[in-house]
Amino acid sequence: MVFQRVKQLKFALQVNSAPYSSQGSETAYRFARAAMQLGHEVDRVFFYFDGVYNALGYSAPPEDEKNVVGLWTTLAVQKNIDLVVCVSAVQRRGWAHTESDNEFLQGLIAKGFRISGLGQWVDAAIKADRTLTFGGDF
Amino acid sequence: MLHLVNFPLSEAEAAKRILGRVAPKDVLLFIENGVCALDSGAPGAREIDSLAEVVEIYALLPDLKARGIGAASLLQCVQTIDYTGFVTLAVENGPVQSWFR
Repeated sequence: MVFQRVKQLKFALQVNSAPYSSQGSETAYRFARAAMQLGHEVDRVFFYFDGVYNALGYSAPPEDEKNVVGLWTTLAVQKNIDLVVCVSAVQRRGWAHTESDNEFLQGLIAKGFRISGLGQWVDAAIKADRTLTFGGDF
Repeated sequence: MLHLVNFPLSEAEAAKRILGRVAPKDVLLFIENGVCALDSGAPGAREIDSLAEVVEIYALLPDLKARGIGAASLLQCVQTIDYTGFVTLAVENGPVQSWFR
């Protein structure tokens, strides 16, 4: 029997849309899960533009609806994925006035996410074999 | 190259913009609302059908199901895949280019 060697790749994902307003975040989440189930690595997910709303810790959908923020948190905790929220994008949306409000921002975001800059995306893209962008309908 | 399209290509300008950049042996994957363009009765379906002579065309099955597009109305040139297939396409056809409206 011939066994085909399966390529194991490193993925970096960017999410640019808010949960509940378009499907991009859920598509990215399901892609990340499928990739890891196939033995690939998803090192970092970068939340940019309206994608930063995926990190709002106070998100509280009804119990019979998907909790998108919770899904990301669970994935980050279970699989040790780095979920990075763009600081400039959150400042543009009024979550904080300056980067020195970082402590306040950390209180806003859900478990498993962290605030940082666009350089984190560049770093992830350089190290990844594949980069994918989701939810760009803005 | 794998092209991801997440909006219906029936809009003439978008169709021209994206389909004009697809090279032979590229792969097109329609996801989210993009799958709506793959209904054989949708505007622009003929353009997509003719494109299948040079590129492989796929659609994400859960997104087709969510929009009520079944095998009977799906363009014959379209192959359906699940998320595992999506990952495999990305692995085998990098880099991946997302197209948005």
